[in-house]
Amino acid sequence: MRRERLLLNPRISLREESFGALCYNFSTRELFLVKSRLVLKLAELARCGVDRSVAEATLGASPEGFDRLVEALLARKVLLLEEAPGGHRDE
Amino acid sequence: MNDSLAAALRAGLTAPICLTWELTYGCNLSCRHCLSDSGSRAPGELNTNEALELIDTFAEMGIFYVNIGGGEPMMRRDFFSLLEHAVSRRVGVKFSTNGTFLDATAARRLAGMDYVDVQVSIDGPDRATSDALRGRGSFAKAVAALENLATAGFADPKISVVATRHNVSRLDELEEMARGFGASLRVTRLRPSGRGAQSYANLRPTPEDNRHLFRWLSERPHVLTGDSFFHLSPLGDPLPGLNMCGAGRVVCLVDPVGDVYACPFTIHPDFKAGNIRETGLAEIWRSSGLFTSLRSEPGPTGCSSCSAYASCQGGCMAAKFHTGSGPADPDPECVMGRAGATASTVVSIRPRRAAAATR
Repeated sequence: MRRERLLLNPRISLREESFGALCYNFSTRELFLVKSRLVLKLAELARCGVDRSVAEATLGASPEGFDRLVEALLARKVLLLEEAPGGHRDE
Repeated sequence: MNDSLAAALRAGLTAPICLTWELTYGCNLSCRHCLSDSGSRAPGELNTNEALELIDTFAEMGIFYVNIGGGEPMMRRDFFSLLEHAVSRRVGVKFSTNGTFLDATAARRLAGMDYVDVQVSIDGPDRATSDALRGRGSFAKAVAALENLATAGFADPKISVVATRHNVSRLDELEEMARGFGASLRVTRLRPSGRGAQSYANLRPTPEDNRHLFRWLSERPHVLTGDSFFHLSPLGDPLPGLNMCGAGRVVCLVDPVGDVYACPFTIHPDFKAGNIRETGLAEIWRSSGLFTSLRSEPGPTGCSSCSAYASCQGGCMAAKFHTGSGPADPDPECVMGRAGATASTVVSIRPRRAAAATR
């Protein structure tokens, strides 16, 4: 069973736009767009850290859509991944 | 960029992606191509409290960072106070400087600040080339500033170059120079605005220069351009960036007295959307008549029948305006050779006088 915790990168700022969100990474000074209306809700959940499965259930998105969004946000370092305390990851 | 995203950007965002704030028109230099015709301070500049409040507004609007320019912004005595306030509100600052006041102490102070980026202006890889545009002694001061930043450990400053016919063939040297200072190179377009109106004919890159410039930039996606060169896009694949005119859609400018303009290169009453002392910036951005009209779909233009229109979108509104062309006309540096039919003699726009006349 996979237990992962998603944490909003504190170096990222986001703001809502009609297409989803505009994000800025203060470390890389990179500005980019995320075309998903779920991104702000997910970012809010992850502000203090949230279990990946809890976030998925809370957002009510399709598993594929949720995974796609999370992977995209991890790739852009909007979200950071950490193991939940006491949890483990399947390799 | 896909069509729906492009349409969303054209329709305007909740706040600018990139807001340019001309902090002062005071400047110790008198560069031949200065787009804001800077020299002496404008009467009625925003005072420190007004400037701090404006930074609060940037934060409340969700503006991630502002490009601070001038004039020479470091001439303001409250410069570091404003920077520190911006950082405390998580508003990033990219500021442009000629380097004169960037001594070792200032460099150390900047190196200790988060969310701050510095662009030092140099217009050639040697003293003769750069000083010919920026004035005697300016190259040495800029180099000293870059040395101070390097010594202080400031990460990745920028060397900002305005592309002219005198330096386009020397971009390799400029890139090497930037590398030597641990800096990135930034190349932007010469606009016929401010004093650039008078010098445009003598400084503007030739068509061959533009072809070379575009090839050179295409091979170096790491070189920053500030999205300056989308008018050259028909020459190949678009350069990194939004590749569209962002005036009033994704960019705007606040000048030293709080006037808000559609873009940094059209500081003229025709492109003034309001003043922050009379109407808040958020309200101006959201609902000024000028910005609303800039966000509407353009009607048929003289360019729209051109096969390259999808690439260049008709080019830069400011370059057209300052050369006497209309918004529907081709860019004065149209690579399809269409500019000659409409561009007239360069008109002289003096932004500080224009601003004073409206107040």
